[in-house]
Amino acid sequence: MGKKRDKNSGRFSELPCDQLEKQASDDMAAGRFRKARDTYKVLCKQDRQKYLPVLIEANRRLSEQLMEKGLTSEAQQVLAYLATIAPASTIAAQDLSIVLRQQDWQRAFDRALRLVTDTAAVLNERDRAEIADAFVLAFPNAQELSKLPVTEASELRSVLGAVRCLCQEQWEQAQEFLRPVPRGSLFAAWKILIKAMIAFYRGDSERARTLFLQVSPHGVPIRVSKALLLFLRTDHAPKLDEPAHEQTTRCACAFLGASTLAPFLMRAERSWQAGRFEDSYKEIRQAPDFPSEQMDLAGALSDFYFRAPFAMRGTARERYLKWFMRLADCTSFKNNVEALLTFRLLGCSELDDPYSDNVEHFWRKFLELWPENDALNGKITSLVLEQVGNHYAQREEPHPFLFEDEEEDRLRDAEGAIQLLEESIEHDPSNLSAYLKLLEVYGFEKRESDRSRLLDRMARLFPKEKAVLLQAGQDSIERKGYINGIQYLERAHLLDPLDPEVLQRLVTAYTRLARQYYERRKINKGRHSFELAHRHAICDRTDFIRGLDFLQALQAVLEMTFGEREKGLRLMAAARECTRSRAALLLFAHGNYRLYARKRHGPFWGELQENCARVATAQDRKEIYLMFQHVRSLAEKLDWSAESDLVRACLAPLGTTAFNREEALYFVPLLSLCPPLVSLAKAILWEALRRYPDDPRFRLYSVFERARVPGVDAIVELEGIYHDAMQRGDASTAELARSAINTANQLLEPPDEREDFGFPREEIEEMRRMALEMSDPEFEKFRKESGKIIPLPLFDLVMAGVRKKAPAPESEKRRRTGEGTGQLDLFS
Amino acid sequence: MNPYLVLGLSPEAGDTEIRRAYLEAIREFPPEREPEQFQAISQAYEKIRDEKSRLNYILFSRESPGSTPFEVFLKFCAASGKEKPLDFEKMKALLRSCTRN
Repeated sequence: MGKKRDKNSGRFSELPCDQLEKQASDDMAAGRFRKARDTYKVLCKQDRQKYLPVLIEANRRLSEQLMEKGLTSEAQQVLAYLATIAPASTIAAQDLSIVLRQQDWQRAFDRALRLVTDTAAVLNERDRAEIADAFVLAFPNAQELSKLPVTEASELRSVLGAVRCLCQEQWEQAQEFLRPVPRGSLFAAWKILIKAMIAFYRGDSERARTLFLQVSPHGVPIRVSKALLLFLRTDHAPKLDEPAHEQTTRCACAFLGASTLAPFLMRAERSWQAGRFEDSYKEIRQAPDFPSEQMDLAGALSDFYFRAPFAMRGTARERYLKWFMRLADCTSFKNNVEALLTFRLLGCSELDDPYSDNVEHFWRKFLELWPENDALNGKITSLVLEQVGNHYAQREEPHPFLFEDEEEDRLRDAEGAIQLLEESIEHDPSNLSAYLKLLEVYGFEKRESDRSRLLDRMARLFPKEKAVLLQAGQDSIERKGYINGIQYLERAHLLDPLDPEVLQRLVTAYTRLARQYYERRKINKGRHSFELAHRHAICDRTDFIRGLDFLQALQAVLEMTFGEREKGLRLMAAARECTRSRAALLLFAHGNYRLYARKRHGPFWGELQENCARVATAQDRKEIYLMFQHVRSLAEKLDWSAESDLVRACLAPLGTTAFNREEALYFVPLLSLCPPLVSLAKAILWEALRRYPDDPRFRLYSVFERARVPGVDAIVELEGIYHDAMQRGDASTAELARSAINTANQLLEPPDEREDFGFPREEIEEMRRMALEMSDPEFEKFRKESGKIIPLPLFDLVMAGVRKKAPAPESEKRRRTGEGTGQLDLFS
Repeated sequence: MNPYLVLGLSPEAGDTEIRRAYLEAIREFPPEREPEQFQAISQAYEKIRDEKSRLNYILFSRESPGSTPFEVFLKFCAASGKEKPLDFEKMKALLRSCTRN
């Protein structure tokens, strides 16, 4: 065997000594100790006496570096080599480091003792810290303590005593123990750490923070300090790439009693930061205590992983959910908790999807897994079913643009909603919100007898629930059972005397009752009802229902028509006296008078015309417009053209003279919905555009006004509006523009002739053939049945052109694209 | 963050206990001095103030307690109790574990 060839000799042999020395020195300065060590080795062969000390130093630093990286066995190899070239005292400190990392406390104590008693040993800060660690962590008994020099023995005894007292919450005694340990002591860092921990546990966060930050930068005390600083809401959050990061996290986890989580947490964090969210879950999933529903760290992380997708967007969310979908499909759950949380997650995500087919399925699975013997089982089941029922009871989304072939308003799945809400009530008969929702669905579906029955039951079950009393009151009033309605509302009023909604409904009920009495010529009873309504009247602001002026005006009209004309005139005079909105009051009186007198121009018409000239402020215009709408709603069949001309005349200045942006923003969408006033809406819009040509909202309205079905030009313009709105921070306009762009894009897509909706063409043809032969009720039943297999919008799309009642495919496309945008239907 | 953790309560806590913890917490963190803390406490209380809110929170809450796992860990550390030190044996084991790389 030949002599082993030095692998570096060839590399370095051609360089001059001084150049090599400079290179090694640079490597040392840059922390490249292995490289420096190799260079010094070569140099040592040329001049051993000169280069041996630096070679020893390079090896020593290399071993420290390796130990810091956790490469203990490699560090040991370096130390073994060091032992062949350096005196024992030089490597004693490194040796201690290794023994400490190996957690051999007895040997560590012995090594530390040797170092502390060796007067020749040269110790730096780090060595001293490790000696202190070795003594403290060995937790020596009295006999071992006696081997130490007197001073160190006494100080160590104090530190150990203080640790014991700290654990027993004996704060004062712990402080007493620490008092004799001086600042320059070997155990000074331990003293500060224990004092900081005392402050920490006593809740003195400021002092604890200050002391933790004073701990010297070597040894165990600084590691503990860094971990505990995390508990003090400081900005001391270690960066992921810091070498100490993992150690701090592990130590903090240990304080939380979650030591096993730490390594998985680190890996999961790295995957998450890299955008590999599913991988992150897979990492953390390996932790023994994960997932958890407890209040511990594992529970907090479970909360995070099973709620995180709701903060994600687009494909990231889809990918993440798909992973859990697959997990649910193959039911390869780690445990019951994971299964439960997965179905909850999937159920919640399906609730966000208006066309979901699986929402009920996931939640039923969830309920199957919920412990049967749980005391809250009934309530949980009821809430879940209520939520899914509520999902079915949502209205199908409205069109973003106005179309000729508007469909009737309907719920996503009214039958499903009713079934689930009834089931929900069965599981928890005290679940009021389920009743209220069911009531709403019955009302929507015009199942009046079911609605009344349910309402009676609710009134019996919840006699002190304001919401129920309000509903029952309203229901009675709508059925003209005013006295009954008033009784319910008076009870609601007793429960909450300040609720303005209750007061408003109560006054409405009294005035309707009074009107009924007057119409039946029961004048005294009518007057009495007005007196009762007056108890809740207000004078300090304009209120068409509760305002004293409007109540008096209404009574005046009724008196003039059915009672004493003189009394009516007196009441009207009183109303004029106290009103803040004379034009609106006169329009109100005039409108009500027309209900009975059937004359185009009653006693208030002339005065009303005179007063309209005084409608000058934004508030006046708003009031006259709203009053016109109110009056028109009293009897829509009457001819209100004279009144609409009058209101248009009142509002006409808006189109030409001064108005501010807010006023225009208020009136344009409102007036555009009222056919007689559409032209005025347009005039206001053009004037607004003239004044504020760059305003995105007015520009958007102008697109809606021009393009009922948008073209390519409109899309370009809408995109410009969207960007301008975004730049100005006008989020609502931007959102409207974006949804309009989506809709327009969809409308401009050429129809796909080969569209088969993802189903075999033969099946679709068969379905269409069957549908053609069905009667309307049969078809409706068929549609409902099919809804269990395919989404109803898709069914309607398939049936388009086959059945008259089914919506046209284009409109369905529009419906889907305009989903949940809240876009306005302007200029109908 | 988990509302029970914010208010320092166990998941078994009832209405009265929750209300008491809430009042104590807002006394400690009044809105004029600690507006952020106060807001967090109020929000936490709203989530669990009665049985129905608590069940709704368990079943339907979509609010993620953080934006990354490590942030959740940090928030958990900041919110979790420091009421009691570990017992001596656990403390000893923990201190010793800090020498390991």
